[in-house]
Amino acid sequence: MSVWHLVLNEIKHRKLNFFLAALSVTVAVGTLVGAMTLLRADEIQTQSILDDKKRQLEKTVAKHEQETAEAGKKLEDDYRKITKGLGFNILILPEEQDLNEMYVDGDLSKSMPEQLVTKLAESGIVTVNHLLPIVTRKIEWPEINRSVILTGTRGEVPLAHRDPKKPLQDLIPAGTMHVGFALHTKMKWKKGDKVTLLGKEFEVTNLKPEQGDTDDGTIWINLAEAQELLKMQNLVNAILALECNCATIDRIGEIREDIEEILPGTYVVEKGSSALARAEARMRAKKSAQDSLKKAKADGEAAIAQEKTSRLEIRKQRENLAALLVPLNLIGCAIWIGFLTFGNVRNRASEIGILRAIGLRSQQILSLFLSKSLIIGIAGGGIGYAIGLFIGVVCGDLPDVNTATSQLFSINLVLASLVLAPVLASISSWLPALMAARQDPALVLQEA
Amino acid sequence: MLQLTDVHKTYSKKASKVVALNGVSLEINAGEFVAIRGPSGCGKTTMMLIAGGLLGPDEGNVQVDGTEPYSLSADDRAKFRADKVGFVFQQFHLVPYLSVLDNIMSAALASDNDEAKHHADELIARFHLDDRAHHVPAELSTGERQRTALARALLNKPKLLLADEPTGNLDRENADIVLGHIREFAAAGGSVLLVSHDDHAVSKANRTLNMSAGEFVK
Ligand SMILES: Nc1ncnc2c1ncn2[C@@H]1O[C@H](COP(=O)(O)OP(=O)(O)OP(=O)(O)O)[C@@H](O)[C@H]1O
Ligand SMILES: [Mg+2]
Repeated sequence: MSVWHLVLNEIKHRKLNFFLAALSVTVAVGTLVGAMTLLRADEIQTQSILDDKKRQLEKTVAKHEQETAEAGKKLEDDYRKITKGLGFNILILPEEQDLNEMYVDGDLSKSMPEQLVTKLAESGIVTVNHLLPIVTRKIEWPEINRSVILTGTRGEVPLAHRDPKKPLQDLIPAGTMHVGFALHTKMKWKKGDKVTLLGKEFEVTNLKPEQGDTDDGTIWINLAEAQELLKMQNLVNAILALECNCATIDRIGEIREDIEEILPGTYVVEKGSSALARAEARMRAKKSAQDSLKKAKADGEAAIAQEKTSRLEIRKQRENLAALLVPLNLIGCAIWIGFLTFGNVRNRASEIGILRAIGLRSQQILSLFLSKSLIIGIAGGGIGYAIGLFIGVVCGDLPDVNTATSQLFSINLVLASLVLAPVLASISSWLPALMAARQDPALVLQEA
Repeated sequence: MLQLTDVHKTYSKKASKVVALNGVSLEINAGEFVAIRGPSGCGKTTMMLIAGGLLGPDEGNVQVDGTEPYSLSADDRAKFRADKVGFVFQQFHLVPYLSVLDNIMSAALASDNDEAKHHADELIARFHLDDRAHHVPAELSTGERQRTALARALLNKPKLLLADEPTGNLDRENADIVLGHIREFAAAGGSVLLVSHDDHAVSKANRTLNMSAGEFVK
């Protein structure tokens, strides 16, 4: 025989009283848990919506990135073609060549061995291509009594490690001559004309279009013939090259380093215009790509931020509602349990009276009622949690019931329900239970 | 065993005052069965509650087995009741949701009585409640209910048994059974104070006192 035995038997005996009290706790806990679970469901939903949007944005950005990269590449390609059209932009000279002579007189008086170009071609260099060895000297053309720049070229030397490319300048066969614009217009030469240079006869095979630079006063002949005419057998004045597209930011520095390592005693000069155009091209391509990306990102992020704000707004409203509803419910439940316990105490007056007469202490009477409240709280808390979770799962609008249940289930909330509900029930029934404990048994027992 | 000395009790409710006991003195020895007879409202129940440690007197002294219950704290007085006093009432006051056995055993909640179960089984057998032991009061006859109440009062082997109209709801046959058990208790050395206005019940006592308007009369 224990107090629990008494309590459990009383519960069985007055089922309705227990049921109503437990129902009240169930409703209170159910509302509380339901509200919290719904808020949690809302949070999960918000997160998933925002995640979706973020993923979408990332996809859009990635697509944009690819598009701009492609566009940039195309742009760069275009510019590359243009700069290529502008011709060689790298000039490899003997170290001792006086650049002042080149810029002021248009002449290159220093020479270097021709096989250097072979060495370069076989070196595996990647920062330049289209190697063109030339001899070039400013000479007096005695037969026509004019100063011209004589350039001998043997055609491009293919790089050993790369696929052959369409040359920027073709081989000039022996006995033929290409003539710069200023000269052939002045002399009124036509294709097929025979001209004599330093006693040797050449056929004019190419009349160059206007370039606006020293090329307009230049004639081109076969390298070997030029070397012979200038008494420069196996020597060249310069090697022309075209910067490769693959070079990085410090292009010219890198090219210099490469070449000077392979060909010590040489010096690399960059022709300005085409290099600038190239750099400009890269920059513009990059900038346009970055701009459009930035915009796409900013737009997407703004959209996400807006979504977040509106979801937060809804959440705030729901929280306010819950903040109003839940305490009202708890108070209602507390009052209800108080009344039920009060009724229970009145019903049990004679029972309490006799138990007191038998010798039970008032704490034992108190514990009789509080134990019952504890059971009511645990039962109502457990069922209330289950119902609250059910409400959350059903009304939470999450796509899959099973995952929603496992996402929304919270062991902390279960424990809180199982602890707080009995506490609530005990507090609510405290006053009537105290009344029962304080009740004067004599009064009850006197009633006939 | 029980000693009441010049006990006064007045119920005051707002303006009205009811003098329930007006200087009552009484002594009951061990093994003595005393009955008090008197008309309704003369103060019988009041005296019994005072004797049992449930209702403090306004004046006068109460002693049970050498203990003055009203000098004890409430909890100690509860313990005193559990150990020394057994109550039986006209309305039985059984706990409606407990079986006969559990009702009898409920007295053990108040005392650390190791032999309670054994004693309860003994009482059930002696009071012929064997086949009713697991029935709740609603399923019992009135005689069985009063026997259950008496068994509960006797579970902790009290020194003093207080019986307030224990036969008021019983027919003659059942009243005789219950009165027989009360006599047995007294014969075994217990003290009994029985109050009633029923002459038949009173006739079984060793000694009878008449009461009227809160005082003993001749
Ligand atoms: N709690 C109370 N408040 C006020 N008056 C009371 C109270 N209890 C009893 N009385 C009064 O005290 C007097 C004695 O009551 P008591 O119950 O002791 O009488 P009784 O002899 O047991 O009567 P009965 O035979 O009808 O049971 C009665 O007049 C009663 O009305
Ligand atoms: Mg009475």
